[in-house]
Amino acid sequence: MEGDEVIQLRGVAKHFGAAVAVHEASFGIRRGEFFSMLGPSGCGKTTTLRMIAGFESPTAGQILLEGVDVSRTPPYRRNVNTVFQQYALFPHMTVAENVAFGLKSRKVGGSEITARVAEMLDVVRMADFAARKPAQLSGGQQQRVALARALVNRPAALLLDEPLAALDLKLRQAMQLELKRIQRDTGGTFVFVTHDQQEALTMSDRVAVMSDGWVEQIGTPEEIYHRPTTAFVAGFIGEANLLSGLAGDGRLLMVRPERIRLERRPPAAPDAGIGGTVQEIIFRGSTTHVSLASTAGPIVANITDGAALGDMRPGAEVWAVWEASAAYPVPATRDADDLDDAEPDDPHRTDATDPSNGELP
Amino acid sequence: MVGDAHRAPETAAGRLGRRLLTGWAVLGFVYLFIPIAVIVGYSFNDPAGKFNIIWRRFTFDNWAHAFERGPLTEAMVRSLQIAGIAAIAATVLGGLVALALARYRFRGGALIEILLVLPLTTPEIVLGASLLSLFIDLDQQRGFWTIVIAHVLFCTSFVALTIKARIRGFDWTLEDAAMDLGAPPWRTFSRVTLPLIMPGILAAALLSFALSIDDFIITFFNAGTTETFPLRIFGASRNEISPQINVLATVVLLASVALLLAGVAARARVEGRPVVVLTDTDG
Repeated sequence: MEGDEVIQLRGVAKHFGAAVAVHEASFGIRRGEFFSMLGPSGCGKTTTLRMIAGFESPTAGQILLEGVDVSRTPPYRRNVNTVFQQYALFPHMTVAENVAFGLKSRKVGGSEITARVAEMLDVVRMADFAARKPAQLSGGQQQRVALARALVNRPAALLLDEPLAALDLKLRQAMQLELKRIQRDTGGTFVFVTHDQQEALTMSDRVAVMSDGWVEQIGTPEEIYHRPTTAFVAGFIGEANLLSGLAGDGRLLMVRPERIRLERRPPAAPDAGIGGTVQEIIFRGSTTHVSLASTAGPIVANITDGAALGDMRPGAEVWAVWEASAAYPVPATRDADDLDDAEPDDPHRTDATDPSNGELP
Repeated sequence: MVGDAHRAPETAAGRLGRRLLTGWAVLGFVYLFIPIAVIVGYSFNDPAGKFNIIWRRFTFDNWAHAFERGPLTEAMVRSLQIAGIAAIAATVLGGLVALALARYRFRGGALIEILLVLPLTTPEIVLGASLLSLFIDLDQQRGFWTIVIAHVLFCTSFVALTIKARIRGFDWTLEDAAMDLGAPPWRTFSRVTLPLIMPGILAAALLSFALSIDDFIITFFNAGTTETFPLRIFGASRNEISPQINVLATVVLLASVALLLAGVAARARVEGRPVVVLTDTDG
């Protein structure tokens, strides 16, 4: 199973004095996949990336790169390359010199350097700018050069530390597609750090969701969206209603706001639902946002067909109704068992479509 | 140079004010540069006696016989040697101190910063006298090398503080990037860090050179019988002030201007965003 994992973390932890940046993290990154580490700032994602790059050494545990323990190997002897958040291009070198730097460090021959630099500048569409200095480039262009500078070394994995955060929205979306294209063209393994859940969902083959130094869940974008294993993941990835008292075992029942309908009468099986009082109705263009108070906690519904609401007013008694398959139970708190569940081949996954979890009120 | 094309139409009073301001600025520059102009000008004087202090007539003689005054020329050469050695030693020492202080947080860092300022704030006369007693205690004959030691002492502080101020805005991620690209620490320093902080280092070296060549008080205490350029001029001034003093001083002036221009050119080569914060315009 581990045969095709480029990077393996085995119980990797990082402490800064008394503060714990990363608790024991164990997971693998597969060859050729686009793997994201997603979480709010301070969740440990960047520290984890820096440990893989070699800028930080783990307090405990092992990091394996292509099967070899590199936990104590300095960054300049690791076959990974990083794209930094602010690009960190060398301002006193031209674009071509920047891209050639890694090859020169590794004593690649002169003619091969020229050829590979030219080829890589073609891949990122910066061939016309080879003689420019970084200060003469736009943010998006600097981004491409930073990519080329890292990829030209043919690293076992490319590490990207929030590389799109400094770009404006339009450029960021264009670069997301561009990154995916470059990953396809080069067939590389990309490890991507971001706090933007939309970005992670759009680009990744798999996502590791992190919080407070813990890896909460690892899975495909669909898995972490539809079948979160912790309340944090459910709340962090998109909007989620976390209803208490409906799932049993002290677990919460997650229903996405877009899966909720509002009806006048109780649902019939196989649908499930709960009664509540309308608090607020907010028109948002393509959807109408209705908030309810219920015995299971506050509920938010995003209704696409505003006309179906009729003359509903705050104070009205309605039923929030969902298809049984739209509800998914998640543990209310994280404990050791849940961490084990954070594997994509989670046996609990079958629970997701079990209608019995959605109890009628 | 003071006018601005985009300003509102000028009133007569405004025009007058602008001219007064320009005149004031010119006066300021005249004040700054008159002593220098006098030194350069009197290097072309043909004085009546031994004292080159009253203008008589223009001549190239002093320049043609610039190095005629043996002891003066020797003192000049000695001063240049001392300044060269002191500048190099102080730049290496002070530069390393500055890098350490700017790059790392460590125990005692704040104390070192205070200690660095001490040689600059201590009156030169105190520094000179205490160094002298130290050398006497050590039974050390005063001469060329005790002057060098004294100059390195105060220049190191200037260098460390100058370079530290210049690299305050340095983006240390660039070092991470270099190492990430396979460069071991030495290559990272020589290819990335050093070229980027070079303008600050050159400025500090020039400053050291100028401070050393100029120093009188500390040198006076620790020179023994060795004569530097300032000591020679001072010692001889009771008997004569020869025009060769002006000639050699002008040579030094031209040399420092040339070095300054070289420094500016070096910084212009390091293009891009200000990786080095310019806390002062070096003059």
